[in-house]
Amino acid sequence: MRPTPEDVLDGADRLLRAVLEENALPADAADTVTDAVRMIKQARRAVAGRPAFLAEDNNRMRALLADLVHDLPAGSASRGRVRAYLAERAAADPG
Amino acid sequence: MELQARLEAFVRASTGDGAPQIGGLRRLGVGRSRENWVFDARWPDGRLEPLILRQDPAGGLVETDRALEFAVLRALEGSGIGAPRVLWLDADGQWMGRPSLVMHREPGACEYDAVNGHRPAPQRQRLAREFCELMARVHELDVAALGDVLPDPGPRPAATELGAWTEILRRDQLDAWPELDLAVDALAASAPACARPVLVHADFKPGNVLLDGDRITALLDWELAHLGDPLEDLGWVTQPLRTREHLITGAWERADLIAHYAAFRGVEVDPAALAWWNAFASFKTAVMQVSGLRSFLDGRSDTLYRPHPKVLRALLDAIGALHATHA
Repeated sequence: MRPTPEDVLDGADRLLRAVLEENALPADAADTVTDAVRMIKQARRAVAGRPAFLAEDNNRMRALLADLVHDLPAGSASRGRVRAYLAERAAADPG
Repeated sequence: MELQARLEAFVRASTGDGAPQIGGLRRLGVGRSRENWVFDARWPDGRLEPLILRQDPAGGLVETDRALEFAVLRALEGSGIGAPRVLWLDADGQWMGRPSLVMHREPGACEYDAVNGHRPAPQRQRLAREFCELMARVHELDVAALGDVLPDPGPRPAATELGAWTEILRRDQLDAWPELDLAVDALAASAPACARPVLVHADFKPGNVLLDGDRITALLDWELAHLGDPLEDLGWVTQPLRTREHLITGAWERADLIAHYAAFRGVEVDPAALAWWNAFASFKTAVMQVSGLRSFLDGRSDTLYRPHPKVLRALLDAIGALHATHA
């Protein structure tokens, strides 16, 4: 599900690099930001190795479910069950 | 070219020989769909005019048309509704680099928490009532006086709006969102009709109202305004996600707001139609977040939005309520 950890880390990397480029930071602060950029790079490498099939599986299930809801008759019990399942899933998402 | 130089060239091109001097240019920290810059224009006769420059950002939650916003604001001049007076338009960004407009800066400040913030309770209740009345007054404006600035939404503005926001969803989504597909189907199956289209602000909230002390001085951010069903605005302000912005627990509840709106306009509010617009409000919020996520992933925005679980929950609850209403 987007945003992936890679998306988030890339965004954080982009922000920190923008700070380094645009602001005349004191040398100490610039060093700290540079360290943070390096740590993000390490985190990016670490998450790159996670099992790809989990993300692929999740994406495939989401796509199948999105197709399925259009096929269910309006007002059907099945549609109600899909809605309840999705509501449960959203409630369990830490956000 | 830096912004100040661009702005000076744009103002010179718009005003000719009598161009004012530009000073005090600084960015305002509010506005998620536009970039707002305040500045002062010193005219040759010595008059100082406070102005605002509104620019399209590279990316964000909503893409809107500066030329349309300019035309709506110009049409609202003299309406008494408190829309800011517009001065100059750079529709295609030839001067400013991006589509931009300049408008008069009214006195006051936006207070997102005016209804539930630091003010004494009686004052907050009075403001909540006045916000409701301001929204109702927008709906009472003579649509014919707007000319042909805004397109006719047809006999079913609900279906028109749903179609427009579904198109945005399809354009910006990178993944499947079964929650939103379920919503599109449910909303399409029960879109209400509207007997008389009105001017809809489409982002009505205290954060878009200027307050000078406790006096309303302007209604801002008309970029999403269109002709449509007045219940669209009422559904937007009464959706559960915006409770804190518009309602006061125990003193100004949802039923109070709806009753006051109905009495002020002398209309009846259909609960089933309002339930539809409540659900649509959550849907639209989720689609804006899909667009925000797309902007982030494309590198056009540095703010990480995503369809928030709270929004998806509100949407699915509203779809459930809609189903119950129409069963």
